[in-house]
Amino acid sequence: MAGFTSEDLLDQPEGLASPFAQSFLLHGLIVGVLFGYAYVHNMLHGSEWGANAFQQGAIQATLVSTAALPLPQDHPPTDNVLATETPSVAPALEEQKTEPIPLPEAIPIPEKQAPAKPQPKPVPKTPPQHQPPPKPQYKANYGEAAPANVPRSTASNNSANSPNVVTGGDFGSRFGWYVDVIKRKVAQDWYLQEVDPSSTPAGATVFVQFTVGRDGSPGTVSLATPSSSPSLNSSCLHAVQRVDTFGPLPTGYNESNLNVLYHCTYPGAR
Amino acid sequence: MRALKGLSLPHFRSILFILLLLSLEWKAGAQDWVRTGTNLGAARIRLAAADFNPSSADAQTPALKTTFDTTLYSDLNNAGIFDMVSKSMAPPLTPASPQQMNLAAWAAAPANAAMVAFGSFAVNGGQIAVYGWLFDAKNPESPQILGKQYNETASQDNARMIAHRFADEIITRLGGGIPGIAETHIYYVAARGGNKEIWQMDYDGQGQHAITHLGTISLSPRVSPNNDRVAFASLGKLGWSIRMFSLVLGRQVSFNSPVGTTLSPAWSSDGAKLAFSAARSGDPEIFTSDANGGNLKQITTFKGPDVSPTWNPKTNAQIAWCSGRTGLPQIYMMDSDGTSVQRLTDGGYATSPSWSPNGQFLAFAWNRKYGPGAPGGQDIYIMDIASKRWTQLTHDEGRQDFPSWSPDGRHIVFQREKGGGSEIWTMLSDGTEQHRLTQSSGNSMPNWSWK
Repeated sequence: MAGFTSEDLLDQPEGLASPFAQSFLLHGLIVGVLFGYAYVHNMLHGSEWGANAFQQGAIQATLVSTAALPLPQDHPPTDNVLATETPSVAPALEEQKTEPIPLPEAIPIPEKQAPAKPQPKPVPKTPPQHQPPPKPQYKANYGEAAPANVPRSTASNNSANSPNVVTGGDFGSRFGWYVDVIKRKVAQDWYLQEVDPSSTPAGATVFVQFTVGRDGSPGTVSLATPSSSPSLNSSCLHAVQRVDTFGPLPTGYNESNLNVLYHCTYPGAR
Repeated sequence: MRALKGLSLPHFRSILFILLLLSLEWKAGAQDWVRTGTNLGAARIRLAAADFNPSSADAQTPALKTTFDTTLYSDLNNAGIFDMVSKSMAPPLTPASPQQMNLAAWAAAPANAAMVAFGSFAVNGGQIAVYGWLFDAKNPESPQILGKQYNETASQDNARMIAHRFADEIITRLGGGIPGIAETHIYYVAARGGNKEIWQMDYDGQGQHAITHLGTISLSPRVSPNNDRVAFASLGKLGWSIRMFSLVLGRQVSFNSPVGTTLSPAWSSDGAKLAFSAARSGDPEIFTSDANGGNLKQITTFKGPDVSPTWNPKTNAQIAWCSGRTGLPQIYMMDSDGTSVQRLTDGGYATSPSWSPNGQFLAFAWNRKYGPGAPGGQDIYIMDIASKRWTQLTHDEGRQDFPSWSPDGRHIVFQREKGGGSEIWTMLSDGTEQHRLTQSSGNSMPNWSWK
């Protein structure tokens, strides 16, 4: 027991408490600084989050050059305020001309040519080339569908002089003018803009069925024979649904209502 | 696949045809079937209006019959749905009754008429007696569409009125149930001798006469839906206020106009409500009230002027108006309680909205390139509300403003300033067939009656 040897010193427990405490303090400080910075930063710039710094005063109206109007138009409307009755396509052409200008200066921008890479699209274009064969068939049907105004009649011996006229199926021959009214009103309300030209071949025909009440209002509109184009089907349905009235049924017609089979034939993209 | 499709379509059509015939047989006696359709739209109806046959020897007959024939032809021509057969192409003999009618002559060239209006005109003992028929020239088996008889006291006005009524019958029948406008009126502001009074004329510009004689400045007349009152803004001792004139009583009736500058009244289509612009606190806002001015409600609270309201006549649930809250006036739309505000135009100088009777379109005056040195002029535009797509109706003809729809939705009346004076014009709602109605300069702010 004369004194401590070096081994004794090594055997003595080291004082770890203070280094641990310092370490905790340091780490705590770092974490505190980080949170504090984030808080202060958030306080300074937080107002930009979720706040409408640039509030628009109103919803912008989209100005489109082709209006979907049921009115006969001799010329399409144009954005060019100076244009008169002869529409000009000059703006569209100018835009196309401005595009090639950056090409020579910025050759290392093949990215811009990437949008032009839809060249691979010719590959999908080949299947459409297989489809054209049906088109002549549609056109043939287009010709067949034309004489649809022939009045359907089950008895053709009606005349104004015979008192015992069997009325049935001769509406078209007795009141051809009213059939014209139906044809004209639905045609006016049929918006070709609603038809998707990419999925609708020219000559595609949809048959819509509805009734006309005594007061002239259309009712129970339904698809009788749909076409292959959903947009054409819905556009023809909408055309009938837009009609408020065809005018009262003719006074000489005594039934309660009139059944109509109406066809809309797509004339092709124009 | 091709062969299959080629086979299937004819098969399909034949099956459809058989089914159709079967259904016809089954339905025979109950309801008729009609099969029709369209591919390229429908052309206008080729209509001939024959000169009526004079069937009396009265001295008044020629003059009255000329008025009648001219008015009937003009009304049908103005309707916008007919391709009229020129009188020079009509067969020389004018039938007085169905027995004298030779439809083949009218259906053949050069008339090529699809429909013929004809009849007899007589003046007996101071009474006009008119028999009018409308025949379908392409259906000789049962040609008659319409037969009408009119008796009125002999006068130029009554000759015109009978022609208007017969024309409206034809237009209603062939136009698909939409009543004609030949008996409607147009109310407008006429500047005479320093004052501006409210005037009235027929839809074709005939019979112009003053309604008010207030000796002040009156603006923006709006006739009520049942044609018994005209609301307008007038300058009085207390500034601008809304006044009400009874067309039935022929005098001014009370209207409880709010304090402050009150302008631009607009009737709802049921005649129960008025919308107008009132500056109670200095800033013009849109208010609604009952027809007598009671039950006042403020429905806009925007900084900047809000004027020129117009109701959606189909539903009375929406109001379009002109607001200057972003600087230059623009057209906006909202529900009639002030909610769901939408901006419809996005630039230029847009004013004077007018809602079409079917609720589908808004007509308004618009200067799209407004500003010093800008090339644009102020023209009439219409916008399809649902799609927000617009069409320009007038081009390069001076300054247009204050469009107002006719009740059939096929016409628009508007004010055109050109060469120093302003006049009232009408056109079809596609911008074609523009006609000048007034000639005396200083006529403005037209409003087409509801019926």
